[in-house]
Amino acid sequence: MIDFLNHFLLFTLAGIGMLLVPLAIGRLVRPRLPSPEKDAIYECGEPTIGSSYVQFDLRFYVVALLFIIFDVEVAFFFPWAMVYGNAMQLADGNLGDEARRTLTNRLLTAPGEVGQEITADAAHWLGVTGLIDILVFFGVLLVGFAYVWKRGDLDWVRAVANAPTSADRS
Amino acid sequence: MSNQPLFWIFALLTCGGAVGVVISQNIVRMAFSLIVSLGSTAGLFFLLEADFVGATQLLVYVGGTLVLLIFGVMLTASGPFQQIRVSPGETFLGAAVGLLLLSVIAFTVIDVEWDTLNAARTEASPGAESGNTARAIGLRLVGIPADHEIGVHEGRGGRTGYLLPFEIVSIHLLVVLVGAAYLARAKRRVADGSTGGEN
Repeated sequence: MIDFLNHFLLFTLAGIGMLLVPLAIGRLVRPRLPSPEKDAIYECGEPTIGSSYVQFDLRFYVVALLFIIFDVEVAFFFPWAMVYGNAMQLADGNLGDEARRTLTNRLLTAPGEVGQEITADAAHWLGVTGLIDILVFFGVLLVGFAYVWKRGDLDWVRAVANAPTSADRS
Repeated sequence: MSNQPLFWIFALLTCGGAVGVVISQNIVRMAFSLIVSLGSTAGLFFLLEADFVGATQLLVYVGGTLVLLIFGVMLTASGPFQQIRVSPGETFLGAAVGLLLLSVIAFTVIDVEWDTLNAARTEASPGAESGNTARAIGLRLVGIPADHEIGVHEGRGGRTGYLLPFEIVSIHLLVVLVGAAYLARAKRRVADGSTGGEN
């Protein structure tokens, strides 16, 4: 518990520090010689055209929507992957007793009694079942992916790609 | 709890971010406040030893939903420093809904017997105490119930953990995916109605 807390604190503080230290060093070291060119927005000599507050293309939004779906899907993959990897290690028949016990305890996240280790057969069964589960899970989503792909939502240059089709239909 | 001060800091950040979203009238600052709020919520999850939920919060909400939100801002923003004005009626409605939700949550928190629940939780999965929950969740998701000894009661059927909900989740995601694609297409049809392209 304390160990976990220390990790968490270290991570938070390192994250803040790594951001602040380069900024502070830059502030102390850099020369300060402003000129109108440097004060320009991109400071590379190119004058900007118009404002950046334009309405962006809807395609960005669609891609972000699709991204979130697969983001959630990937989040569900992580616990499965941990179990699958562990089960496949346990499915190795040549594993020593000590290693088998360690892996069992890790898989069940609980210290088990001696003699309660998961056998290679059971682990193999677990791994194969898990693989089928995730293939069904992923297969259902692939249907959606195929649908989106087929309907052309993934075509970035959409207008050009679809122009002849819509002209044909109408 | 030994992490009480840290928990308070993150709880204050969460609430502060949420209040910032409500108070601010600049939509970009609102988005930033939401990042603070959702990120601190992930911190709270980590402090409560729910590592998987915390990571998912970061991955899906901070990494995904906020990107969507910022794209939404980019779609709508029509000028710098645009202010959002709300009518008194909207303020009243929003406050009423917010207070109702708050009271629901408050009553739930008061009603739950936390000591009994904690004891049951510790008994069900001892490993969860040290913030190592992903494997336990994974086992449930591939269909091993909490009290199932792998390889011992293997022959017995009928107890499948959360395998069915797991597969239903993928159906839900499929529905959302198709629905989102359909809605986006409908919007685009309205946006460039001149082409009249039927997709």
